[in-house]
Amino acid sequence: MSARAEVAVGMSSCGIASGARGVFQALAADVASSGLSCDVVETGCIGACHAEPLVEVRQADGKKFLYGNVDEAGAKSIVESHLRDGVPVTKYLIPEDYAYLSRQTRIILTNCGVIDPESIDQYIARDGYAALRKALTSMTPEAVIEEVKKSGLRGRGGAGFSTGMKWTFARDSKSATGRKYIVCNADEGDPGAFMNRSVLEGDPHAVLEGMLICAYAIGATEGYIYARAEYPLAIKRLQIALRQLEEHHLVGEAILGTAFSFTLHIKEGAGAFVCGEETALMNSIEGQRGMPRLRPPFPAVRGLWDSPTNINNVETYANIPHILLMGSGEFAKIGTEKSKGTKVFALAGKIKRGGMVEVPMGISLREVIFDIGGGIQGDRKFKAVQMGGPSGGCVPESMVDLKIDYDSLSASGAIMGSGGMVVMDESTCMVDVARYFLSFVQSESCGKCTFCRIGTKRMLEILTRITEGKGEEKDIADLEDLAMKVKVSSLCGLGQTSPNPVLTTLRYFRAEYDDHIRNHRCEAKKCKALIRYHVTTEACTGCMLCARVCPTKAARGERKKAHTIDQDACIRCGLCFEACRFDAIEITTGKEMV
Amino acid sequence: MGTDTTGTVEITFDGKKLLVQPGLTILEVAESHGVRIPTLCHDRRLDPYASCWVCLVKVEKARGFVPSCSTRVAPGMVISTRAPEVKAARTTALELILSSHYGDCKAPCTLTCPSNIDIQGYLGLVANGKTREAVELIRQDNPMPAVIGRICPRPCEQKCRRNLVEEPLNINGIKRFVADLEAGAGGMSPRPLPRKIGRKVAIVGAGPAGLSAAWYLSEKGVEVTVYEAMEKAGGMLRYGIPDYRLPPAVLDRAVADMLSMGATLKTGARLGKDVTLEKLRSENDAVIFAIGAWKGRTLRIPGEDHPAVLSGIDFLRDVNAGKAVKVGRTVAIVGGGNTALDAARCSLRHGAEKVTMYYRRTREEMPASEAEIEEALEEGIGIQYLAAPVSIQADGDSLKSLTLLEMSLGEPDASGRRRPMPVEGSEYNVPVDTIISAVGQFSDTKLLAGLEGLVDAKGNISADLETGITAAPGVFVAGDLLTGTDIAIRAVSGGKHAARAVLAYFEGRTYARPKEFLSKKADFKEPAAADFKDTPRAGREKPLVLEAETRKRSFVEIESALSAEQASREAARCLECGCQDVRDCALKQYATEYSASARRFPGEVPIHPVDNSHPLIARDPSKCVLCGRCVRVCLEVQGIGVFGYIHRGFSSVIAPSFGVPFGEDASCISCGQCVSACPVGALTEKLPAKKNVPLLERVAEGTCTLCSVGCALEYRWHGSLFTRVTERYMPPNHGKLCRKGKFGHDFLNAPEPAPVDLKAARAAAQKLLAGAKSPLMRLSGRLSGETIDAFLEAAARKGIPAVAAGLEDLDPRWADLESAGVMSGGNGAAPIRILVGDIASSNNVAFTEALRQRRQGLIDLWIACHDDEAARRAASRVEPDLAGALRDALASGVPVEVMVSPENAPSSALETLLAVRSRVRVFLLWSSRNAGYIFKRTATLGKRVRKPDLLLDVGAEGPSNGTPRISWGMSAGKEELFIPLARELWLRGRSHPTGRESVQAGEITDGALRDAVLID
Repeated sequence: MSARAEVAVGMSSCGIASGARGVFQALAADVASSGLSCDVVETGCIGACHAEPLVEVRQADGKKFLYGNVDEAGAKSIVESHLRDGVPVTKYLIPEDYAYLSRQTRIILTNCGVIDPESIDQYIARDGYAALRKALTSMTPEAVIEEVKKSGLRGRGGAGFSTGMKWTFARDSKSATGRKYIVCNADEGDPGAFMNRSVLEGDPHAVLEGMLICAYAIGATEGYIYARAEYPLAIKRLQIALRQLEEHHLVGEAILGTAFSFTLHIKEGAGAFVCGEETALMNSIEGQRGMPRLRPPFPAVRGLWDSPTNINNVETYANIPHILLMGSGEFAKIGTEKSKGTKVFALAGKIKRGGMVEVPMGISLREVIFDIGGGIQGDRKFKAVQMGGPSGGCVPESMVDLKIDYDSLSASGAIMGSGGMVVMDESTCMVDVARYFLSFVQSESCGKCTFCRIGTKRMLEILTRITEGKGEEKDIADLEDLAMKVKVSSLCGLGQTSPNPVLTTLRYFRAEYDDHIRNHRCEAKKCKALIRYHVTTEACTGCMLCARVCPTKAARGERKKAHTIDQDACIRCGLCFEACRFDAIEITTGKEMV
Repeated sequence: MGTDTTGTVEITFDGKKLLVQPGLTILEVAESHGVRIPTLCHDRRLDPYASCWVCLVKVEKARGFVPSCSTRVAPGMVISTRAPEVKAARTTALELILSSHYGDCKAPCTLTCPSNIDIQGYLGLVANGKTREAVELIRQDNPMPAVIGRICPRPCEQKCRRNLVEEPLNINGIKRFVADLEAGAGGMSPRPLPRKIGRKVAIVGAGPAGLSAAWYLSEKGVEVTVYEAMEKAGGMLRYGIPDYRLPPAVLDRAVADMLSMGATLKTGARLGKDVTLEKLRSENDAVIFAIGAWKGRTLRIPGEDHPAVLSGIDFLRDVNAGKAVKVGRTVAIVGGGNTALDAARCSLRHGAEKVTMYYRRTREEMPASEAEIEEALEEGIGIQYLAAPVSIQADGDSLKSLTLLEMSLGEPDASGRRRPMPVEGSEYNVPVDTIISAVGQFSDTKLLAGLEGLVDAKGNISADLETGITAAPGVFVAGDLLTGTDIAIRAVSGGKHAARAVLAYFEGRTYARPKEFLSKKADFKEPAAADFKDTPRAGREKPLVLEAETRKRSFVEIESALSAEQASREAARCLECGCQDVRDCALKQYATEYSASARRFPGEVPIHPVDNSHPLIARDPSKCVLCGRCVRVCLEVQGIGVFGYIHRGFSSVIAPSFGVPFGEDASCISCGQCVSACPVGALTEKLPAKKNVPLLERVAEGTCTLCSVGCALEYRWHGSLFTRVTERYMPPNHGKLCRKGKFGHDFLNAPEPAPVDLKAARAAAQKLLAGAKSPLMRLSGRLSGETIDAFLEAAARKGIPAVAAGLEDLDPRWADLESAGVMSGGNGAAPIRILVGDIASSNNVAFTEALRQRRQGLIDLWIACHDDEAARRAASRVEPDLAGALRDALASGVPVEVMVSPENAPSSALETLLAVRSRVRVFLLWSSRNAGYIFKRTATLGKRVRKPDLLLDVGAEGPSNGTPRISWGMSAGKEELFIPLARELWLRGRSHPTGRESVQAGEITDGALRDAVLID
């Protein structure tokens, strides 16, 4: 890159939320005041979200140093020590062999955290739009599709359908209206998932380039990026990128001097989860309420405004330029026989090192969770990992060696989904987890189908009863029966997959359900109705801290005398438990619960 | 994938190979092969949607179940519509829907009534002034309305939701009112005697059960003989109920009514003496025993066999039979039921000075009806609660005293009543002259002991409580004999069901009471007073009652009937708990068919207030199943979009845009399509009468007269009450209607005019005509073709000029355009149809039909001379003027058709059209069905009457401006002479729909028409 030294600050939403803007300003001010010859630049998500704000010092000699958890004081010391004196600041330094980063294989994220996402020049400088030029000037649309097919790329939106096949359908489909469309599904809505946002914020041009190549391949002249309005930064950066495309004549008429013309729109979704479902998404683009349509006809036959439409996920499109540049053969070497390439995961939950992780397909859960993620917070026991959001499932600890590819995950009852990976430890109640995900889909159901609208509601009510200790033996059978019926009697993916969290937890954690029902016991001590907080008289010093934090005055006692908790007044908020510095508050459940 | 060359695809359907047309949905294939698949969201006017999932079927290799309404057949498809898992999944879909469907199919009063009388139905009829229909409706489940209307303890009223507002409806009072009104007007409407079916049934016992059975059997052509041991028929009604509650004359008339279908009554015929079991069985095809419960239970205390200790029921029998009875000055009655009460009140009327009732429990547990207890107290009868008799002391022929024990109430027993427990050492004596014991009755089953399988060792009858079917073939039981002592209406119901059981037995079937699914609010949340906080208060109407002092020594009937005004006001108080859609509801039907339970998936149920803001349509979102049909019919058929989905998940509701009250949505044109689309009672039409009431309807097919499109529709009637219009699925409207067709027929409920003396009317007409120099006939286009022809002929004979009413000033050259023009251009391309002006308002279905044809690619739709949002949505071109539109259309080379309403067209349209009449096809649309026909026949006559001195208005309601007039119509106005025209002349008969294919709807052939014309 430049011969000047550079200080890059990770300025994705995650970084900004952790204070990156302050760090950026501090760095800029300090550099300016110290008169150093150094640029302070913004970049996208560097990936190690657990260590945000992240700052990378790129020396003029090409050496790079990554700093994590940088605050304003840290910024000052980086400027004073590293930039001025050439002495790296060990306190913030992330070692070069940091497994979290060194164990990843970055293809899609290759530019994320490296380039300034608002600079098309930096993108172009790193081979950006070379793939588009290659496709437009040296390949027929068929050849492009063939290349994508050979790469073995499967849709990264969740279901894992062959991208090349999908493109073939759209290309072969006769259009009654004379138009074809492409759509990028950037309506990422799974709780705990932020892969698409990070890519859009960190490398928007990669997605746009993939879309342009797709449009060329299937013969579309118009495209939409459907992004949720809750991603303002991603939308802003997409808008900047789109303006840059216009300035560079990479959209519009006669792109790169060829006959290929293409218009691109950014459509902001209003936050309905179901709009991530492709047919509901199309309805939403058309200005209707986001409600799924029956398939067939598939979008490839009749999609947006009755025209053949290709819909892919952000990450799928982002893969395309790389496939064309590296060649399908090289791409297909990564991953497993049926799942090629890499996958970006949003590693979250009770994990030591969370963030964006790009790994080759076929890697085991153990490697991701323990090698990359560093294991469980507080070294507690790993219990399960929830994959694929509300449509996915919970994979138990016993299956930690499961290979992450489409088919193995599917067999486990979970799904790849778009890549959310929520790690849970023993303090997580699996019934409560199922209830949480079901309540999410229930409130996000579009209301059209009976089974999804009412079936999930009744399942949710049963689960709620169980977590409240009001469950009955027959509830499990009802739950399973309803789950199976909702799965096979719903119109769209949201309904069809909504029972997955319930079904997988029933499959792997049945004993926990039974325990709730029969013994009114929540082993994880999460279900409020099934737990009690008590003061251990021997341990209590009478410091009165619990009494002070208790919002209902249930915890009380005299100074230097053992306190008590009035069970009738206690709302089981857990504040006393957290406040106590003497481990004098214990939680009981089930039979031990008095 | 493709289809074979013959254009069919082969599929396997429920194991059978079928060749079907490609493009059909599985549901369409099923329908055409007679396989019924339930569906709530499918509507043949609409594109497939798949929301309810009740229609799901199994398709091999499909991912899950598929919705048959929207899955199209594909070659090689293997479809199963009947697999058990399909049935199970459909049941679950229904049960889920039911779990969030909050409404009452039927009102609690009807469900409480032992005979399930359609109470809401008859109250509604009375509120709408249809008392004849009301009494006939009652008779369907209760053939003795005047009797039950007097004596019923009214369990229905206890469940009346008006209890939550102020006081219950006086349901029984209204029953008595309509029954008495009928009696006063000459009695039951005459009805033809049924054809005999060649079966004989003997009924033993002419009480309420036996007589009810006799009525329902003889009504069906069974030869019935009723054997009665007593001197007169009536059973307990006659011999158990005192005359001051049920005058014998009322009972006599009821008995006569119930025997009027041909049943024979044999009185004084005792079972075992005058008629034997063997003879009954051998001479009849079936026997019903309804011998009642006439044996009084004994007190089982010392001293009770004294002659001054009487049995309550025997005492009442003697009183009612007119025998001399004697009671002492001080009478003690033991018991708390109706027999005890009647005995007490009769004692008073037979000279007792002090009458006291002794009852083991408290007033709360007393089985006697509340009103009667109140009346007894008013008459001075004492009631001693918590008192149990222990022994009776006599002094020779006369009684001395009754010893009683004080009781206290313990835990509830099996009957749910608290068990009385003796208080130790609480014995006390009261002086008495007569004791009447009324502590229960039982049947004399010894009489039936000879019948095998009927009476068990303990003397109990063994029979099915719901049907009266016994183990002995052809032997049935009913009434108190079956149920133990109970109220009369229960016996009536028993007779009704026994009759049905007998009829089924004759057909070789075993009768069971029909099981129907009933949605009940109480399954989820019992309505409470708070739900009615906005209901206007209106006190209960009470009948006149004789003063206690007057009545207590007399057997004259105490209570009189409600007045007509009272009854009408009272009936209007009904809260209409039962669903207006109960007879059409698809959900109810499927729930019954699939034995679905509303309680299978209990949980939260969405409850919304009823939206009554729309003047013509009631909206109850709590019953909505979110099938989306109203949303889609409004958008896809009408091109409007009043309704939409709001919120998400379980909270989703369908409501007018932005959730405004329905009546405030300015875009609604009140076409009622949403009502006809709604598969449940969430959207229902308000009746064109005072009060909404769900009724069994008679259907009369017809053609709408309110514009010249001539939509096929059904007029629905209950008796003489016009209830509503529903659409028919055939040309020209294909299931569509507009506001006029759907809601424009209220005039059918106008009161029938008084009959006219035709001879006198004819003379008066001749006189008026003779005196007129310049008469003018004005004809309504709403009349049938035959009627119009008859009057036009009469006018021609007399040389009277005639005009189409309201079209007097229309340019006669319009008539030249009637069915004018040919279609030029062609090559099979879809024609361009140009609608001129606001056809959506003037002839709405012509507009919506054009929408449909455009959606199906049959036409290209343009609109000229009218521009609004709906027009822009509907048409591919909206042109400011017709000439310009025609120029472009003709230049395109495709056939052009123009639809125009002369009454509403812009003035330039006529000239423009006359200029192109040889090149385009013109369809004229009119504001009544035959206006165009009259206009064409009269416009060319050339004679224009400027100032008529006599108007002959036929069905026309135009102004007369003081000119004398003869008016033929449905109701009289201020004219010189009024001649009624039968409703049929409007509703039935030929129509001359202008410009469309002719629609026939029956011919008028009756002489009423010839009579009505008068002028010859």
